[in-house]
Amino acid sequence: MFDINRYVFDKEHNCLDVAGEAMIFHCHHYVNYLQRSILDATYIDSRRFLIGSAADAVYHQLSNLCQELDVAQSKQMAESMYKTFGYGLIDLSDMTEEGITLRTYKSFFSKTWLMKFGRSDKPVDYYTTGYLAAAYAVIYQKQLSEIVAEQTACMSCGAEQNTHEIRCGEGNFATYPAKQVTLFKDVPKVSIGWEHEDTVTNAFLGAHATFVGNEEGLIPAFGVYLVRNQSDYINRLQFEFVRAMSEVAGEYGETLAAELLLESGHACGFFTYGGVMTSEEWNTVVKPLLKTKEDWIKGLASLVNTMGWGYHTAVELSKDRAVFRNYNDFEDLSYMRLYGESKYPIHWANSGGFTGLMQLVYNTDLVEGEVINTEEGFRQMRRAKAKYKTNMTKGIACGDDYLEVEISL
Amino acid sequence: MKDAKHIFSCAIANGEAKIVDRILVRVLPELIKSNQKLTSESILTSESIEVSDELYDYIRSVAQELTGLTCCEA
Repeated sequence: MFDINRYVFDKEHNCLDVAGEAMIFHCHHYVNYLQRSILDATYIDSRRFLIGSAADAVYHQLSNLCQELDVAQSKQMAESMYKTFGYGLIDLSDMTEEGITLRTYKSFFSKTWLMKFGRSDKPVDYYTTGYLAAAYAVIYQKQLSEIVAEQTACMSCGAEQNTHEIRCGEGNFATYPAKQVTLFKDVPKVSIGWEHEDTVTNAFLGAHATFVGNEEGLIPAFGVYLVRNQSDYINRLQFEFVRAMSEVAGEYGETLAAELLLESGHACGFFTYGGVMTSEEWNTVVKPLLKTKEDWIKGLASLVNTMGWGYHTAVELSKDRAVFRNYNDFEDLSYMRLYGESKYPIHWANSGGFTGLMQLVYNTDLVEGEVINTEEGFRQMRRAKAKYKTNMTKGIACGDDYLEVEISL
Repeated sequence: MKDAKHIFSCAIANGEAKIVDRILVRVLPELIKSNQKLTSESILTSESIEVSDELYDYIRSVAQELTGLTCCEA
């Protein structure tokens, strides 16, 4: 029913739009670290935006996809898209005008939370709760604000299966105003400046479409589990977290939140980029072209520019200091769609990712062939004496032409 | 008042990379009530971190919960 191959990768802006939603991959390390950071702030009612962010993005997307479909077809579309994106499996056949009690054994969030952190004391699959609320709203023409959505059992807590309850009532999650259209910054780009950039980029163009959910609705790749997120879903989590922390403690609260958001990106850079740079595909296509450590970073940028995260490049690059840019990065574009302008850079995931990449290439033995992208490897790397500092200097949401971040020892 | 420096030192020695920031996020409302704006950097550079007895106990319990260790005793 849902076919990712119908959607054309935008090579000019290095992004992928699916039915009105920009889509980006994240790994389970990033997603879970981000969610745990939010849940650590127990004094914030984060459940409302954890569900609401998913519901808003999915509602927008499914509304477009189901326009010409009847109820049965719409259910199939929602099930199929969920599986394709790597969130697990859902069966909507029991959904009626009254709602649904949905049970599933396959959940990206519940499975990978357990893998990374062990047992949770609360259900963790807020995304699926929001997804189901959105599907119900689209299929039975309800407003999100008149839906009650709750996860009542979770495998991460020891339950045999996940259970979600969706019904009509007084809405119990956040809803949001309509968002703005995407405003790309079409400015001249500083290229990666590497003779093999086109070779690598062209080799991996279209590869994103091979990352689709398997028979379990999961996407194991590069030693991690990937999910294809609606960019506005995952980024709204960051922005709403920072906003809530600001309400509690002003700039101090924002600073504490930002540290953990950067660390989420750092983990993503370490595990996912580490997985990519030790993969069979990398060893076959990219590694033969690499002579220096700088080549490793440029090779990775050439590859990830085909994944929908924007155009990554480095304007300065050495072991001691690097200046990275991302043209039309997913965080800034998302922020502008949802909130407009920002007073300060908000691209924590990108910047943490760049920092993780520097650590990987310059402060580990990855380049020498050692497999280090394990939890223990991450722990050891983060305890290394040489630590990179991250300085977010420019952002599109701040009015700049691109994202820029300085990474230095 | 008690010195909470050793709790953070213990957590840093045994916990994950950003353990101090996680502890601070967890205890944030109590820090604000006490007019304390601790950061991971200020904790690293301070010789001592004087906090009320109640806040000390709270920081210690959160540190123990997040690290899974009881090494954060005085």
